[in-house]
Amino acid sequence: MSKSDDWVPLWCKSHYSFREGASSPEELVGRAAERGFRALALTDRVGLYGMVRAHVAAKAAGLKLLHGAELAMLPSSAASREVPLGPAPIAASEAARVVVLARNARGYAGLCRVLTAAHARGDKGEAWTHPEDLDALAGDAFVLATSTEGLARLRPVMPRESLRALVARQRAPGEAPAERALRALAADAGVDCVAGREVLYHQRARRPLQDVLTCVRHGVPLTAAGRLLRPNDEHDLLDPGAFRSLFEDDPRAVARTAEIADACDFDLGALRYVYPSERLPAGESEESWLRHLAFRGAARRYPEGLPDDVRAQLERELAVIEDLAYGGYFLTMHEIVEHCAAEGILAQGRGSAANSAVCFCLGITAIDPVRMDLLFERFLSRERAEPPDIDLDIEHERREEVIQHVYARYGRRHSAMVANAIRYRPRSAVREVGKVLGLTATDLDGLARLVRHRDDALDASVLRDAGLDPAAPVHRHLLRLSGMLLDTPRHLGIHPGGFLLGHLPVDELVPVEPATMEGRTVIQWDKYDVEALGLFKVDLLGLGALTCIRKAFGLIEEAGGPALSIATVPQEDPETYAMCSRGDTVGVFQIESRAQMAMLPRMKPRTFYDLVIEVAIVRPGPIQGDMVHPYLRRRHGEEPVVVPHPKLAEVLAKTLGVPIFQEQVMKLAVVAAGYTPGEADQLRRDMAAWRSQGKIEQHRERMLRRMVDGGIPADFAERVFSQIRGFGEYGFPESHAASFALLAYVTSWLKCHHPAAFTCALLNAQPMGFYSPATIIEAAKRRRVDVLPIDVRRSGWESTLEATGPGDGPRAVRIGLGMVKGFGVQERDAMASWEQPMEGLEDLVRRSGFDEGALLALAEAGALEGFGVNRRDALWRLRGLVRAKGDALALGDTSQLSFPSLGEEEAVLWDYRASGHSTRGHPLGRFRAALEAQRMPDARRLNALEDGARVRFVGQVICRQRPQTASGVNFYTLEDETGLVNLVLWKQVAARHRTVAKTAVFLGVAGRIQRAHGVVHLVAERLFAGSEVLETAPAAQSRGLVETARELGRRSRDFH
Amino acid sequence: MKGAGTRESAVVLLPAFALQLLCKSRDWWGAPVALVAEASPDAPLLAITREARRAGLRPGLRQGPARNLVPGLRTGVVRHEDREAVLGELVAALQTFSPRVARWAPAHPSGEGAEGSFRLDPTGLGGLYGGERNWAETVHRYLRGRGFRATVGVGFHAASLHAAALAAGRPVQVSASEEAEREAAADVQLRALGVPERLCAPLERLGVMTLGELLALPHGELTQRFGAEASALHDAYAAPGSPGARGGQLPLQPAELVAPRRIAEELDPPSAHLDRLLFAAKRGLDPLLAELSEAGETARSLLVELQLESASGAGEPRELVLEPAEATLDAGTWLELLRLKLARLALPRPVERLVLEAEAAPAEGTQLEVASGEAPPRDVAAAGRALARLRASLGADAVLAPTVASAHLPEARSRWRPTREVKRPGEVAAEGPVPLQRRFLRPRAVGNARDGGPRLPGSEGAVVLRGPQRVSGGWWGFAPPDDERGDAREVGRDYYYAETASGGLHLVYYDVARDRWFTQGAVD
Repeated sequence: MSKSDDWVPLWCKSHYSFREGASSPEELVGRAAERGFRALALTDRVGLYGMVRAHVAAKAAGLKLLHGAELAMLPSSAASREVPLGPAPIAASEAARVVVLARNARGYAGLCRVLTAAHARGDKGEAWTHPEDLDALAGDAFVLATSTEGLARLRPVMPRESLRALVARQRAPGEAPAERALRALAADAGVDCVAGREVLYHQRARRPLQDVLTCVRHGVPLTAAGRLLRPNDEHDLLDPGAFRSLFEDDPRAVARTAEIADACDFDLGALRYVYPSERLPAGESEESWLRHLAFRGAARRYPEGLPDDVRAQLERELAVIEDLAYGGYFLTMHEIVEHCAAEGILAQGRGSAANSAVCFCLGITAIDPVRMDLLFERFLSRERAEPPDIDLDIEHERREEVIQHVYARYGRRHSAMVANAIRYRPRSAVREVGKVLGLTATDLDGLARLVRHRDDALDASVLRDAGLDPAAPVHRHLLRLSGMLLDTPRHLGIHPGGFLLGHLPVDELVPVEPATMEGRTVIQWDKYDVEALGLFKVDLLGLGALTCIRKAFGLIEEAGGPALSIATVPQEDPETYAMCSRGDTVGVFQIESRAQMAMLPRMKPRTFYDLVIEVAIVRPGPIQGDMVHPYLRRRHGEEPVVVPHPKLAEVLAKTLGVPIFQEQVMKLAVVAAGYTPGEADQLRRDMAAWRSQGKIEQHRERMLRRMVDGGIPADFAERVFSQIRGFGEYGFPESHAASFALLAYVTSWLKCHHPAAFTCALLNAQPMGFYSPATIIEAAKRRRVDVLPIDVRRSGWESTLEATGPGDGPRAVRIGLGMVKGFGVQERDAMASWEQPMEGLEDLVRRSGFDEGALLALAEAGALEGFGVNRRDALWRLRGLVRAKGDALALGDTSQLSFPSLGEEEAVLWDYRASGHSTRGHPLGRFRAALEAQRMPDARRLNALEDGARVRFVGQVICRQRPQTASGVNFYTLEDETGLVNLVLWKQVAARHRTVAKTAVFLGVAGRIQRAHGVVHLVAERLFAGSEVLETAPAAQSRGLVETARELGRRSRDFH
Repeated sequence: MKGAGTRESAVVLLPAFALQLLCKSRDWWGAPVALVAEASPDAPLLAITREARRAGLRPGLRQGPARNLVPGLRTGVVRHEDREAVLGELVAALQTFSPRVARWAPAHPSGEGAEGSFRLDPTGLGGLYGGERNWAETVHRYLRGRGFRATVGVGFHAASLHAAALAAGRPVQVSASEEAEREAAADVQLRALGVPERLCAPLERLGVMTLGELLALPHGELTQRFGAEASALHDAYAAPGSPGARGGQLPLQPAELVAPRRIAEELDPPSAHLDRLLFAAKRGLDPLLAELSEAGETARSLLVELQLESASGAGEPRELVLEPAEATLDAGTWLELLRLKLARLALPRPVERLVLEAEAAPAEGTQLEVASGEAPPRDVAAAGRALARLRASLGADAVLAPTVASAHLPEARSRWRPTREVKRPGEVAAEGPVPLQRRFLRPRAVGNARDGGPRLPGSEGAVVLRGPQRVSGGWWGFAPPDDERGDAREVGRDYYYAETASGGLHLVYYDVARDRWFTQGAVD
């Protein structure tokens, strides 16, 4: 198709005009290129959200991209008001809309500022512009008025050279008189008219999706949408010839679009971005100061003298950093880490930064890359010249302090958080489209439950499973449209911790919006956009494990132990590895999951590097790539370490010939498949990109062919490729695994040597990790940690360590009041004013500041038993005391009534109900005799049974999992008072016992023991309700057992 | 005079009444069924059948997960008005077994949740039925015949009898003695009594699970701690003589025996003559309307039953419903409506009996505007009366009003809907100025094939087309296309203003799918 030089679409909205545009920026650009346009303007509604993607696509397609946005002007009647009226407009009749196109860099920066100001005026998702805002853009931008109201209001503030009347023809009813009026006003004002079309999709087939989006935006079904919908499908990227015909009466207006395109001379790639300079001591440059800090840190890291290889590595890295002028970024990260250290906030770098000796010496990371033989080039290289990406983990409870420190240090205009576009996922897509099509909520709910995962295809069989007719037109529309809606952006969220910092104000690079969370601002681009433009991002992420470690260190020191840090925890401790090898890792960072626990006895880690592999190997990537079993067999000497080809030997040496880490996969691509470094880097990007399966597949044929041609066996090549595909979403680089392994080791060491402090810290860091507080406490009790119940006289808000005898003897964990269900900020603040311990019920009612609900909750939790009153009596008396609290006379409890104390099994269940755990026992402990009478073993005995033994078992379900990698197999974790049992539930068995499998609190299983390499699984053949067995026990005669047990059903953490 | 120790209370219990209604109305007996408050997947199961319980479900589970667990589960909502209607019918039906019937549940002093539970006065009825048990069995048989699962109890104290009957769960429960009745009641779980959760849960925490345990608590202390609701509950069941006790013998507050406002007039000899029928109606109407007026009511509608002469003696009825514009006691209005209705009616045989039954409505203060001299210049009421006459004369759907709808297609923008009321002009929503057009209710075909152009009246010469404006959509009404290129059956129209040689201006469109021209109307 020949290039058309007479029409440039100047008003195009992509799906980043949330819930309005129905095509992606890439689709619009692609279509424009295909149809022979030489330029296209992206003008999303009140934002530049899709601009980077359009920029990248336009570069690839050789299309000129004009940068703009559609703005909504505050209605003239409300122009003086600060508060906008109602939601942002969508239809021409609702507000005066103008399209702004940047002519040059100043115009682009000005547009960003205008958009930032517009968003600052409205609530989240709304943005309103004053005509006066646009005044500053004169000469640097074109402003296109789409209506007479817009033109009339812009005429006094904009010079006519910058102002145009945009005559858009969509063949809509009422369009002709509006155009006549606009043309008349333009002629009167001496403003030129330009021809246009409001483009909402790249092709007409997207019209149904656009209708659906309109309905979603307005919250109405299609049948009631009426004129909220566009009257026709004339919002596509019309063929140039057809457009010329549309405007055959005014070819000059068409030609002016090209003149505007010619006059616009701005390219996003030419953005002038300067990283903010740090405050430097006199006479120092960024480079010299970074060098100074790096070597000063090195002296601390290597007190016995800096090894030559480390020195050489530092020199090499500093040279690269200097060449690339990245020193400022490292100084920023160093400053943040120093701030954390000064404030007692634990922080540690993760990801590829752990490949850097400079980061290690600056204290940003805790892994010695030289000793670990990690590849610096994975982090930074002259060839790639990409900004470094340092992710800093910060203890999660104090991350906000660090975020606010960054805002304060760099200023609001120079720092903003990176966005995260929230996209439609399978469930939300089905729900939204279904609602619009008028399906009932119940039908939709049933359907949505069947498409839990991204890979759950929504097709006719799923509709049938949900009891819907796949042939019905409405359901066929549902399939088609929810597929179209999937992955399109819904609204702007905020990245968990990504910051964009700029020497120049950030709001001149990209519009900034107020975030929903108070005190935060967010840019309109996500991390991929930031990365694509080579901007620097600082990632401040929250990590519960660091909170736990910091609290454990503090508790140990308070109890008279040593002052510890991550760096000073004794290394390579055999006892710690022995504990890990037993799979005794409840609460340990990264290696506490059911799958990890099952792997540890097979792996038997004995060195830190074993832990690095352990962390990385139980991931979908290696599992899907079928790398796990070969590695274990080789580790145990059950098969020889054979490398498929001699040239791979070096790449795979550390992992016994089996690729496990992302870096190895990259190196394999280079060594085995002849990838250039550039191709390998693209492979890494394609692996890392979210939902990158399509991109990864593009490498398949090339890699397999090249590997086989290079002498690599086809099956090995296939396995390597499978792993690459798996890495797409869940792969670990070695440096990242090493950073996590370090925390895994530290938490293991704490659990092994300071179990009380570890348990206490872990409880105080909740919510985090894999297990509930109840399981953590049960695990601690099995390690002979004394756990004391909540006692209002002794407990603090958090759990504490309490001496169990005189001196520095063993310490017990005293559970804190914060564990009582329903307790929150109000109770915590009230407790802060307690100066003396509570002395009795009356004192508590008078002084605690707790309301009746909180007081009764304390009584139920057994926290008042220290006053010598049983829980029921306490409940009765508290109700009386609370009523009498307002009386002028002194409180007095005159009731002579007394209620029976709770039985032991009741007390345990009450504990669970009131605080989610019990220090007094496990709910199943009281039923042991009854279970044994039916020849059912406890978990400890079950785990000692021989392979193949048949057994019946009852346990409390604490976790249900159905990993995507397990082909529908369910894995449950059952618990009793002696330990955990791993249950394997094949698909057919789960289906046969569906109700009991999904609802039973106490699950009964009849099955067979499967034992291999010290790992025991109970493979279910039949399930039954454990409560049926328990109810036959004498203990079950206690009142309320069944009801309470039912409430406990919420304890299980289900990951379906 | 009732003596101590006589069985003077009776209760009828329909457990899980709404669930029973659901199963009954949908014929779902024997299936796993759950009652829910709304169709939402998050709505909890309020009550379930035995079959659903056997399948592992429990009340409180949300509907979505429950249907996921038990794919055959049937769920449904029973509307409050439907429940009330059936309960009203049941009260009326039970009044045939005892003159004094009340809807009542002692565990709900506030009156909530009392549905499906009735208190009756059986005094003296034992003699009629051959004993109290026989009476109870008769009532039970009746309810079973209507498809309800019920328990009928006869005993000494209404509240304790209610509890004892619940505990027994037998179709018929007759208390042997006061003491036995109290003992049986004492063992009943508070939950089974239907005590509200807000009271039940904290009492259970204290170990107070049964009625007996509740009654053992000191009344004053219980009241202090749990408030008036607990106090009322205690009072309702407490033994006579204990503090606060009402002895379960609260005076029964029977439902009023509602005699329909109904009157019959005989025609002797039978006649089909209009005037005679109207005179007969007038004779009946006057006392009927006077009775309503005396009760502070007015008539909203009137059911006129014409019983035709029959050789068999059982008159064959014809029913007419009269509905004025607004409720009225004006006999003239009613007779005018009746006259119009009768005039359209061809009676095969003479009428021998005429029955008038009025639907009453509370009388409201009217004509205040007139009294204050602020009556609007337009008499909307008169217009309403005129329309009522038209409806009576031409049929219930004879009077239509135009309504404006939000739609792109011209013919969809205004619709005619049956109406019963007249609105002032200002009350009708308008959507901007409407072009001055004579618009056809349905588009008329005016030509085949696009190229042929429209053939309009007076358009022997060339037609000048101005446009097009395009209206397309409605894709969701049809199956999606496989090739994503648009379904040919979707609405797709190109609208033009067509100027004929004779100067006429028409709104025409070309229908893309049908390849035909239509006219939608003309501009004056």
